[in-house]
Formats: sequence, C-alpha cells, structure tokens
Amino acid sequence: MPATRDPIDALNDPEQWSWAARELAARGDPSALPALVEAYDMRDERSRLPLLDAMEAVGGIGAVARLAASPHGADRGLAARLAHLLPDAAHVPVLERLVVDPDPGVAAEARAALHTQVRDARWRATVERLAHAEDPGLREAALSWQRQG
Amino acid sequence: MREHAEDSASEVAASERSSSTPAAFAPLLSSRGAILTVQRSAGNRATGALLTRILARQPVTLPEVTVEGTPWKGERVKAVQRELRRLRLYSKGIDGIPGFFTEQGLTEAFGGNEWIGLSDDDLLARLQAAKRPTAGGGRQLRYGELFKDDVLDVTLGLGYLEGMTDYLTGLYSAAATGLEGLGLTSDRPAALAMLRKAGRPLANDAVGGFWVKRAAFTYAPPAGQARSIDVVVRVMANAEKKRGGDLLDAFVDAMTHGDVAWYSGHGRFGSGPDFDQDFVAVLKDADGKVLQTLDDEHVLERTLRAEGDPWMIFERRVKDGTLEMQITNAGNLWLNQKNAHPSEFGARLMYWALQHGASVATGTGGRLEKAAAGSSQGYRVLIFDGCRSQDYDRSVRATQGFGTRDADIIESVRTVGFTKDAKTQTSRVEIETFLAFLRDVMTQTSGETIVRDMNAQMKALEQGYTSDPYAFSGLGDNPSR
Repeated sequence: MPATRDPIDALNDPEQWSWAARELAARGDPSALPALVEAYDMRDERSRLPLLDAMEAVGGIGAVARLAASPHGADRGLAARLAHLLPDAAHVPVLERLVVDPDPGVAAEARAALHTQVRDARWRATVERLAHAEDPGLREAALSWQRQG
Repeated sequence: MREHAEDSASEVAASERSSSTPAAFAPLLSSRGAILTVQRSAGNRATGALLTRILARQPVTLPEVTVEGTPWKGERVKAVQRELRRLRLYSKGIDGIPGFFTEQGLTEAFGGNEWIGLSDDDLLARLQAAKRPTAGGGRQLRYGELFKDDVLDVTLGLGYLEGMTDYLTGLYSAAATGLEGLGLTSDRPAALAMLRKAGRPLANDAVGGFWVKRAAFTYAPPAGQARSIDVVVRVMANAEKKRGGDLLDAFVDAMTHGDVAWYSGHGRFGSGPDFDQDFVAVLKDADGKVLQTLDDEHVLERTLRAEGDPWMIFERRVKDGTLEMQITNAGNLWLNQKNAHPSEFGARLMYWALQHGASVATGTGGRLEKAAAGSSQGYRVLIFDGCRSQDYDRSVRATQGFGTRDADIIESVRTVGFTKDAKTQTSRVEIETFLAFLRDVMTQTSGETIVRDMNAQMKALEQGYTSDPYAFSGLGDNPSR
C-alpha cells in the first residue's frame, strides 16, 4: 500500500484499515482518535482489531478522562465511545459522570460503556450508588447489572 | 434458439402430463405448470371455467374439464409464440410447446392471468392487436406477475444495527419522510384493506408501519387493459430490541407472499438477515462470579486475544463455564448454512450462535420452501442490502420457489457503508437507494436501469467506497426488449 497516502483518508476504505491503522499507531498522534472511531462505526463487518489496537496505541485510554471534561458534546461522546471500545478500570469514575450527561446520546453511550467495564470493587461501588439514582432509567440499569452478579 | 427440452420438462412432470384419471387433476391444479397441463389437454375455456370455480372456492368436477375443453394445438401455440416474440416477450424457439417462457410471455402480455380464460382465437387476436414495443429497453422485471392483483406490495425490513439504535431510528424516520415525498401516506387500515383484497390478509397489529398510495401509477400491458395499481409499503425496524422474532416472521412472509422484500442491515458474515441483537458475552471467574460483560464482538475478540488464540480461548472458556454467551437468534434468518468466512472470529461467532438454536431456512424442507409452497405468488423480487449479501445467493437459489424463474434478486457484491455525515444529514443512503428502486418499479423501468440507479444513489451518499455495490441475479430469463 502506498506509504504516501494519508492514513486518515484511507480509513474511509475498509480494505485499507490494516495498513492505515498500523501507520497511525506508529505515529502515536491522539488527533487520529475521532477518525479511528468513525471508521470503527462503519457498517462493514470485517475485523476491527487493527482499529482498536491503533486507538490504544495513540493514547485512546488516557484520552477518555480529558475528552470527558470537554464542554463539547462531541468530545464527551467520543470519550464514552472510547471507554466502550477500550475498557479500563480508570474509566469508571469518568463514566459515572457521563451517565448523567445532559446530552442523551452521550449518556446512553456512557451507560453502555459502564456496563462493559471490568467489575472490580470500584465498579461495584459505583453501580451501587447508581442503583439509587434519581433517573429511573439509570437506576433500573444499575439494578439490572447488579442482578447479573 | 429453441426452448430447451428440460425447460418444458421441468415445469410439468411426466406423470402429470400423462395422467388421465380424475383423481390426478386435483393436485395438478395447485401449480401454474399444472394449469398449463390442464389447458393443453382440455383447452383455454375449460381451464378458465375451472379456475373461476377454484378462485370462488367452489367444488370442481372433472366433467366440466373433459366436456367443455378443446385442446391447445401445437400450431396455435406456435402462433402465440410468434406473437409473443413480436412483442419482445419471448425469445425462445417457435416449437409449439407451451413451456415456462411461453407462459411468462403471456402473463406479461396480458398483465396477469387473464389469458388463461380466453379462447384460442381471442387470445391470438389480442396478441396480434398489441403494439410492438421499441427495442433497447433491457431486461424487464416480470411486472405482469407483480401487478396481477392490482397491488404492488413492498416490505422494507431494517436489520438490527448492533449498538446503533439512534441510526436505526433515523432510518425509519427517513423512510417515512421519503415515502411521503413520493405521495404515500401513513395509513394502516387502508394498507391492510388493500392487502386483504389482494389475498394477503395481515393481523391488525402486524408489526411495522404501513404507507399507501391509491392508484399510484398506471400499468398498461401490451395485450391487456391499462389499469391503476395501488402501492403498499411496510417498513419494519426493531429499534426497541424486543420484536426480532416478529420482524423475522414478517420478513419471511414478505419474501414468500409479497411482491418485493428488501432487507437493509448487517449481512451477518454472509449468514443471512438479522433483526435482533446478536449476543452478550459474560466473562466469569472459576467460581461463576461475573468479571465483565461485553456486547461487541471485536472487543470480545481483543479481550480473549490477551489470553491466546481468541477462538481457542472462546471454546475453552465456554466449555469450562467461564464464558457465558447470551444468544438471541429469534431475529436471524439463517440462509447460508456454510460459513463463507471461517477465518474471521466474528463469522465463527455468528455461526456458533446460529448453531445453538437456529435452523437453516433455505434448502429442501426449510422454512422458506414451506412458506413459498403455500403462496400463490409466482414471482418475487428480493433485495439484500447488506455487507456480503451475495453470499446468500447460492443457498436461496437452491430453495424451491426462489430459482431464477421464481425470483429476481438484487444483492450487494461488496461491503456497503453508512451515510456520510450521518449526524448532520437527515437523509439516509439506505433509504434513498430504496426510494430510487421504488420509483423505478413504479415507472416499470428495466432491471438494468434499476440497478444502475441504485448504484448511483448509493455511491452519491455512501461513506468510503467507489465501486458499484449492487448486482442483479436471475434477470437473464426475464423478457428482454
């Protein structure tokens, strides 16, 4: 594949995900995260492992807390999506804030992301608090997660 | 070119052709090939009388056939074939044998089954009086079959998009807006009444939304009366995740009893349409305590990869109980029994899930064959708008009722993408492509034009691709102008 081609542009073509993701991972530039997530959410069914690996390589896990603090809903939405795709114990307190985000899309994705985090002591304590949330939808979600064990 | 001997033999079994006992006639009347058999031995008038009684659900007695009829002579058939050829509805040999292609030409000439009840003289006279269409129109869909009940019945099934509920909801809204732009109105009672009149009764609480347009367009078959056709469009989406099984049932009904069934959604690694969420994976420790719950196959694969080969780890964990797969197969229409992508974790996972509770719907004795056998629909158009849906073709074609003479299929020949800038655009590429198709069918354009317009529409709005996404399958035996 031609190395001169812009790997960000190449993410639009799933045939080129492998090399584009490798190239972006090598560069380590976190500004590639939105394009990587956008490519991930394309309808194509092929493996997304290269995209996930690249997201982590460019700092996707560490970016979650920073993006979640942004005043822009798009950034917070990206934070929630990254937390969903790259589960990590560090995301839990961040997601506890995002599950009540004023943007319903962000809140929904954050709830889905929190559901998929590793269930360590901090996760369980967080979910215990959310089981008493004012929002009935959030409360019911937390209770259902607790029932799962 | 001569009509192949097997063409004739395939539509009328030898035992049927030679049968002369009264008891043999009853099963003959259950298929169109059988009707031809009766017609050949008893004549048009007798067959018409017989059909009238069948349609009216009145008892049929053999004397009516043997007394009233006059056989359809070979020379008469040749004359009919010559006229059909003149009308560009028949391109096989003038052999005097009324096979599939002769019948197809007659149905398209008259816009339905009216020809069956005509006398030989009237039939030929009507054909001779018909105006020859200009050449160069391309392969036609079998509009006479589609419109013979005066209703174009279309179902748009929107497959479940894992984790993309908002997008799916947006698709449904875009469909509503687009259909209203074509002059259709949301009207469930009117739609159900139209379908009932066309012999397709549905329950009042049938899943999905219904749009209608009365007298949406005029259909003027060359030897038949011009008439108005009503359009009913049913749109289904399982955005609430709760009705996957209902959508699957409705889609199978549309594939077998409807005129057009369109699926848009994930191709599910070539396995078949899918109207519900795939799975939830629950990772546990040796004591059964839940460690993590995952709802994305790629994240699951990556998580398992940390322990070794993902599929081997998957199988080991399932076996020792440290991975519980919560599968929902209720909305899966399993078409392709064999995994066409066995090297991919996602495909293996898909087939593993299907093998735990689903049944293959294609092939002998499958759900589709059984449903098609109970349908009066002699022809259908199917569209599979999803990644790798070309993988479906072989299995679907191997199913009785879905051969190239029974169905035309438009399928995606590559993966397909989503709408560019989906967050800012209200239109959706899947819906715009569907509407392009619907407009073309309502104006009775050729199959080639339909696919060309669908490809153009898809490429105009799709994110990321440049090559043509769709191709026709089965169009080769349709009439060609």
